[in-house]
Amino acid sequence: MDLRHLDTAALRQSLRQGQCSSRELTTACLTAIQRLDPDINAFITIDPDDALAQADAADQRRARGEDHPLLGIPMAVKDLFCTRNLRTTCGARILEKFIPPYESTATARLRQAGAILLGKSNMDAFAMGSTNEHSDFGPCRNPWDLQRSPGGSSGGSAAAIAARMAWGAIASDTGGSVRVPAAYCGCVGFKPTYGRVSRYGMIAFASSLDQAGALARDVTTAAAIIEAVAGADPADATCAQRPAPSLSAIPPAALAAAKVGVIQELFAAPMEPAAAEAYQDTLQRLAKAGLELHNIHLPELQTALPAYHVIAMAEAASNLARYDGLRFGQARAAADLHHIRRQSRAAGFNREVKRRIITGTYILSAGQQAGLHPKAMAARAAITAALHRALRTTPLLLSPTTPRSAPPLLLQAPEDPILTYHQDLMTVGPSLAGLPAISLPCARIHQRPLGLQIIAAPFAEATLIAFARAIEALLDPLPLPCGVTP
Amino acid sequence: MTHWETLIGLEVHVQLATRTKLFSPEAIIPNAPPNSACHPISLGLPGTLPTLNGHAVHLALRAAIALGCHIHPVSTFARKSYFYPDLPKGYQITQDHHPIAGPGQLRFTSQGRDHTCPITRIHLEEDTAKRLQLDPHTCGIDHNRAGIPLIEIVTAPSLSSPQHAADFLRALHRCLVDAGVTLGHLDQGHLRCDANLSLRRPGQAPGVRCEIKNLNSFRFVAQALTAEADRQRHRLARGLPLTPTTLSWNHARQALRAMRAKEDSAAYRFLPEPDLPPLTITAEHIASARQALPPSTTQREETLRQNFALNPHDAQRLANYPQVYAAFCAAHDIYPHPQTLAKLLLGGLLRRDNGTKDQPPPLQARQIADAARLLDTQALSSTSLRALLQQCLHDPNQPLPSELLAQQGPSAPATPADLDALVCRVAAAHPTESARLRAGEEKLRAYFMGRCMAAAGAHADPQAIAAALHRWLRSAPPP
Repeated sequence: MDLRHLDTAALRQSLRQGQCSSRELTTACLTAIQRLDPDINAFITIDPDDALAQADAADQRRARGEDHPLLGIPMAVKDLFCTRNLRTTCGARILEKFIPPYESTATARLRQAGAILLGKSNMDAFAMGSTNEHSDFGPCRNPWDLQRSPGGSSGGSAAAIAARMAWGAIASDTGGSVRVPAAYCGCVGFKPTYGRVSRYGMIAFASSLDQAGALARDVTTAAAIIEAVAGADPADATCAQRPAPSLSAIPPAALAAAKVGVIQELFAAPMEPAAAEAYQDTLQRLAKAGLELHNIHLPELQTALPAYHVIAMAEAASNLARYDGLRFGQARAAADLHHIRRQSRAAGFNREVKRRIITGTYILSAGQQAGLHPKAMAARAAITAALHRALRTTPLLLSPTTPRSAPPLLLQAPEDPILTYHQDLMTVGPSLAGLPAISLPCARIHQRPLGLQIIAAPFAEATLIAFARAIEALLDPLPLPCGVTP
Repeated sequence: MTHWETLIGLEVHVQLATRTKLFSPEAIIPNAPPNSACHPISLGLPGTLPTLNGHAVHLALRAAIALGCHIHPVSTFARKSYFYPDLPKGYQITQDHHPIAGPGQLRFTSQGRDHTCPITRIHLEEDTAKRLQLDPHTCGIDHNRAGIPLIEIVTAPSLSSPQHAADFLRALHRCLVDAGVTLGHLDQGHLRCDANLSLRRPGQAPGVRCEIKNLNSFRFVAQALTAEADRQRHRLARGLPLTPTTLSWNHARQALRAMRAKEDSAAYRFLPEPDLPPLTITAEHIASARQALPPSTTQREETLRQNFALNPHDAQRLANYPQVYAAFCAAHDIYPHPQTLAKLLLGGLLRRDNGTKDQPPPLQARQIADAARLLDTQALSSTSLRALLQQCLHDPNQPLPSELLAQQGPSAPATPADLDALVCRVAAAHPTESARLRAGEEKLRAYFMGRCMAAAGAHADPQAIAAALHRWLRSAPPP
């Protein structure tokens, strides 16, 4: 049997009892990558020798008696986490040759836990996109249907897990970048509270929203990843001064009589028809299992998408000002400084990145100071207050993760950015409020998975994970994606 | 025609005396080889994040207290964006709407009169990298300076002449050096000033404002502002238009050069800094800064005059040199004779530089106190004392001057100069008697001989002292 198809419990048991080694698991993943990834394009950079060396080190640690839920488990790393001496592109041409001299806090902690970092996974350039089509290293494809998008921006991470090339991934979520691809690829996508995981070494898109998140085949593995990377970090001033929560061994919560809020505006939003039906079925199954479902109204969420885009684009324009070709990344030769910068940026940024820089620059420009950005910040404060209020009534909130299943790859077709941005409708609210949220596979329509989003109060990850484990056990497990051969 | 009034406001960038940078952990090393002292954070490498240096905040608070500024309990950081090769991140982290400190003031003296200049605000910000012209065709960037902590002190436009501006800046420099906020080395750019100038008719609104960038000496500030005031008056007199302009001062040519049209703040696309939480200042922070604040020049001068009864001239000179003042206080604890100590420390005896700079004296407090005691009790000329102090200086055992004197045994016969000094001292100690002797009251000569013999000690030669007294009576009386 191919070791890749072991579930988490069986995998951990095999490792503990010495029935398989991390080297064997890593070899199985590397072989699968070699076979499947030319079609899927989930990885930008792979260093097989380094992965095997990490696996041997993990096997030695286990032989010395060490144990950790992630010890020896092969994982993908979204290509915006800086890895010392390993190319980190952020999916962008301008960083094609960037080799960081330092390691991100999150990947350093994963290494400490003994996880095997297989390689750097594909993403929309600078995490700007919901489909992974804006990667400068080619689009990633959805293992459930190779003509469809895996979602974005962490598309490579989700696709690698769906195609069983890795058991988990560390990725980032700004407005849904972990949860949307998790939904489209049938994985678990877990974004903890803003400030739970250090951002040091994560290449910034929108700093006040960016948060490391985990993708995995199941809730337990996603929880173990966040448990390993969470906790205070003196290198990130916005990281909470709280110890890492204990998440990996949390038992499932009791569902009977659990109070859960159902966000009416999001279940009633314009949606792919089959999806709307599937979400209603899911709610009925939950009610049957004894959940106490409360209808919650959050009209404030109407402004979530525009507020999100104003804030994210303003911060993105500022964060991307450093890419001038002078110190790192790809520089274009030119006659003078002005032209080096101009040509480096013109050649190094794709259309979507340029669109967002220009929009963000406009938002912050002359005449706009009293306008868009402060309005968006006010809307953000109102959304945050409304979500906090709702969470005091019911400790958990439910919504669809996306208004649709995985969309077809548009490739050369001209895209309507507003339509594309609409995919983040459900996920940006919790991002603006900095709340922890998780997306679980809940149904399939036309053979494609859908995700259910569960939202919790700030730093209530333990409650969220316990509940998510119970829901996960209630819903049907997904088969192997039909787009890939076993 | 009525005259023009000049309005000058200054923005002063002061380098804080911290060991490390404002937002990253590397040490600040003056004159290090280019780009040898820069962490990835200072280079703005992707994924790096700023963290605030607590000591820089402490020094900014000291400055705020020294300038009597209102300290804001919460202040925030902002990004000021512009593309320039010396700005690694494409923005500078500074404070915009919510600076660490608000209004205050500084008193200063200019052309013999006291003035007060209102301070508008103080904010924290990071320095930029430095452009180096390597040859006529090549420009390098040294990132060692990138991220060095600065405070910017902004004054109200209330300085009324270039001379006032320069004198204000001198007083500010003195105040901040005293407060330990900055090392204040002007040649290393620790204090750089942007000067804004506009003209107005009395009672009317100010005219167009122009800014002269990056002035790093008091003299340049006065020269550049004088040139700018002349330029504006000249244009206005001929009916020529004035536009808001940013200028630079070329010292070699003694000329202003227009750099660019002046930006308004909207051009900088300010954004609240999402990587740094708001800065909260507690009562403890303020108390700790206040406690660390050494006395100001004015406070020192008052102490010297009131507690130590020094004359105004000596008090002012001593107060102006914090390190000499510190040595004075330490020696005074051992030998509480302020006049003698002031004479010793301010005269040429212990100074290597004719007393123009603030340097710690080369001897320890106990040695200085002992030297003062010798000066008061022994017949030693300044030449002899200087020789003795030189010996102390070069002796690794750091002996007391009196120990050295004792080791030398019965001293060599005192020189006529030593004895002249001795007679002068005795006369100064007995002003009434000396005046009467000078007036011809001969019976006091014996009294004086006795005093002088006592002061000269056992080895004295009465004939030589009698000769010295004779010379003193023939010399001109002191004014």
